[in-house]
Amino acid sequence: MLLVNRAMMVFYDIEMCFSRNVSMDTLLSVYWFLFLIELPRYYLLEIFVSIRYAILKPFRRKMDDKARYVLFSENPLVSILVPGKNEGKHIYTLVQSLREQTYTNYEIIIVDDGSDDTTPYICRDLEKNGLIDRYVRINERCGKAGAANLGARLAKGKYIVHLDADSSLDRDAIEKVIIPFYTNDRVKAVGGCVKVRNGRYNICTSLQALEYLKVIMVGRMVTSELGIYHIISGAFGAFERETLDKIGYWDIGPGLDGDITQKIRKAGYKVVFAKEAVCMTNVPDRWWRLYLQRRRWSRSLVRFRLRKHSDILLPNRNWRVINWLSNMESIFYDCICNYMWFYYVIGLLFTYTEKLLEIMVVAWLIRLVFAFIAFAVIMLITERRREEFYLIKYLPLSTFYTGYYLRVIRLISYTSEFFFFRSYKDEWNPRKTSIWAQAEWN
Amino acid sequence: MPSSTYTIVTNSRKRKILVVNRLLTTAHIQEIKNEQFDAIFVNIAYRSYEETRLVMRWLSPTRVGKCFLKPWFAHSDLQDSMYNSTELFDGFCENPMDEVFADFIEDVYRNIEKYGIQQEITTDLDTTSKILANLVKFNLSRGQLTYTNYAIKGLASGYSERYMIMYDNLETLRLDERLKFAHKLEELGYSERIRLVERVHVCRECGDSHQLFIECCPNCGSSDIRQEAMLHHFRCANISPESTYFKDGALVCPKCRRTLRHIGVDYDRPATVYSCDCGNTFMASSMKVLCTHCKNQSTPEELTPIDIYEYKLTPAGIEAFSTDEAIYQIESSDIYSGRSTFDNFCESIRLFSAMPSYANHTIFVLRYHYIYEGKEEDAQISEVMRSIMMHNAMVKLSSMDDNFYVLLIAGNNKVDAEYKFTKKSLDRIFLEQSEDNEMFDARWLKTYKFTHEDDPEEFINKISEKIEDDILEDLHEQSEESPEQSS
Repeated sequence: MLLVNRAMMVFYDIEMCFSRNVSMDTLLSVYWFLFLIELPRYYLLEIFVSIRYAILKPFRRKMDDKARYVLFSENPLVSILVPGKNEGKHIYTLVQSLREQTYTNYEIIIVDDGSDDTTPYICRDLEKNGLIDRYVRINERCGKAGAANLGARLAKGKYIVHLDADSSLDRDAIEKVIIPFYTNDRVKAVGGCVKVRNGRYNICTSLQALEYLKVIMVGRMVTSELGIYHIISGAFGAFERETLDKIGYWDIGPGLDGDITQKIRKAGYKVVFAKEAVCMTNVPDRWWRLYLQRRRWSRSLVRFRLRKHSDILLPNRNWRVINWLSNMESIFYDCICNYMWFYYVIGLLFTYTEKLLEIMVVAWLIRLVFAFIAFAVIMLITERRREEFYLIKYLPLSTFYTGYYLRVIRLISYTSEFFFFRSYKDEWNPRKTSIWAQAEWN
Repeated sequence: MPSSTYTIVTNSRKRKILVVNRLLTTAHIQEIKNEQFDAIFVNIAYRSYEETRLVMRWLSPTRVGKCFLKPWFAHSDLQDSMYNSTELFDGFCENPMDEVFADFIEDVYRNIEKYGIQQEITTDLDTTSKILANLVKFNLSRGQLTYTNYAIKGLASGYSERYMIMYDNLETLRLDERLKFAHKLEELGYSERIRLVERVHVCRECGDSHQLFIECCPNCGSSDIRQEAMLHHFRCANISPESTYFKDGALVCPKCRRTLRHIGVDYDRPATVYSCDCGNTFMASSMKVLCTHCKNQSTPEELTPIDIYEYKLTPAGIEAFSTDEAIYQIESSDIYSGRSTFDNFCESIRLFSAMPSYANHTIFVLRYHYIYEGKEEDAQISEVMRSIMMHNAMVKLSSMDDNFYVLLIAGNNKVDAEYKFTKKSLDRIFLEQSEDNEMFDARWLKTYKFTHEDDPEEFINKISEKIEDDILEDLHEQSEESPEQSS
């Protein structure tokens, strides 16, 4: 009874709030963060670019058809590179999805970074039966960068497609990820679209499925259209081998996928996102695991954008407008805004202490409206509307997920990275290499 | 040093020893009689391997009638210079009067007496099984009942029973025949398996054990491959072959130009990689196998595994070999080389058509008709057959009603070449024999061709059918046209 009473009061408060303080500046003074920062970037810009993308679709298809024709007549060898540790159990699924590809001139190279389980037996067997072309075994673990570098050295293809072992591809994914190389000569690296395979497993994965659609499919399509696309996902990306050779392949991670994209951009090449090249991957199904994964990702932003590649931000020889914009965008929206949000929440806590609940409820309502708009954009862009429509029921929850959970993780990660250089000590790398990464900045 | 070719001395146990000082054709010297000596001493000290080998061949206790089963020792000087033939001698000593030698002679005669071994060479050594049977008898006289297998140089099967070294012409002795002999002994209850010595792998095409194992590139099969360590520079995660790091005697990272100083701190070697001239780089080289005999190329998985056993003679076997019963029991019905009776010759054709592994082979039977007007017909036929065997190790021979039959198996891919080669060689041998001996005349009559699909009975009827006398007369009249053959 008390609860119902309480709810009624909240509802009344909201009504009061809207009826009394309907003026624009009141709304802005309370929700300035939402309207001044999130709305223009994440909604207005994305809606505009997405609609343009949808309108230009027939024109782009014509270009793609031409590029596809050139690709199939040249028929270059594509090396599919899969580095990983203890990934043996995933390899067969991956290989099966590769055998279904429309583009057939490829070689599969599995790099085993010192696995201590049954991976060598599985892979040797697959190699013997001709399902994979080459199985490369590293006896002493040397980190993902090292494994990828060794595999790339042995690759013979003109293009190298980097894949995570636990992912699988749409049957036209290889073709679609190579086509952008043939639409523009300056394109030297292409990112694929990563979607969630275990989306229906539980709430945690469903929310991530929604997030991937919004952040990766729509978000990266938008940045790619604007020319400021800055991260080729490690799960699925294609590179021209010659270019990789020029920039010296991968450096020590974590976050080596963002790092290599930066290097390619710095070298003056174009990097684009291929929305149509779809790769499915499994995401963490526990909140704690998700926390660990995101912490690692977030730290690498500080490490690579602000430290290693800080020269992009400063007007010296590596400075180019587009790269500067690209990095500033990610630094501003991912990092600075996060601290602004923190400041905003603290401010709210102290300024409107007594009205906090109703402010939060209203904020949730506003976000929900935004989320529906974003979902409409997703539905406009995606190629599998029917399969992904079920995610609409997670929209009310998603505001908590993206609005609070992820922001808190980022806040913790950035802060720990800024002050404690945590990423250099990450267990993700073997110790022998991470001590050298520390030496870069200590 | 004694100057005569040979002397006969008597030792402390009243045994007469033939001391051979020089190359000697024992078989043809009439003065040396079987009863005149009990043992042989090869008193040759100079080290000419080829000549000593010849001495051994003409004195062999397994081949030469007069020397059959007699103990033979050689001068100690020969011990180090005879390579794998060293084992053919029973032992070595300084002089024929040596006590060790004397003891050994007594041992051998005790064995011969104990097992009641017939100390005479039974028949001409023209079939494989007879050669093998005489070797068994030889071993029996040395008191050996078990036959342990050894790796033997030059033997097609690689491994063999010890007594196989006695056989001179190891290369021509097919593994199949030896296995068949061993199985036959088992079948007759003459021997039993004691243990598996080794499982060896032989060529699947020709059954030879002399295989070369060659490490090669899995892509192009070339063995021109190099192994190189990959260096992992921790600092910049560069992994490339060691040679890319070489600079002015130091290791310098090709990616970041830093010097690598300390293994485990700056860098390590996580893997080694092979590279080939064809541009391929790989972690594990593959293995190809080249047969030195038939030049067939295969992979280790494709080789045929053969089980080599250790055998022991049973009491029944001992008795059968001692009384020569075994030789009559083990008639060579194998389908390869050697002389056999006509029944076994036909049997081998049936065997051929029943064995699926010969599906892509063809049999030729060459039929020669001969006329012989002299005495000792058997000896003359044996003489002819032996010379055929010397030139064509891979044919099977038989004779029946004034006909020679020569059987040749050829792989379907080289039927014509093999047939032509063998035919030419046989014609030459028969011509030579006819020229050497006026009483003897042999002519090629017909060649029969048998493929794996044909009916063997029909074929056997065809080869054994009678030929009209006037056709035969015509055949031999051609020879009489030549002037020197006129009678």
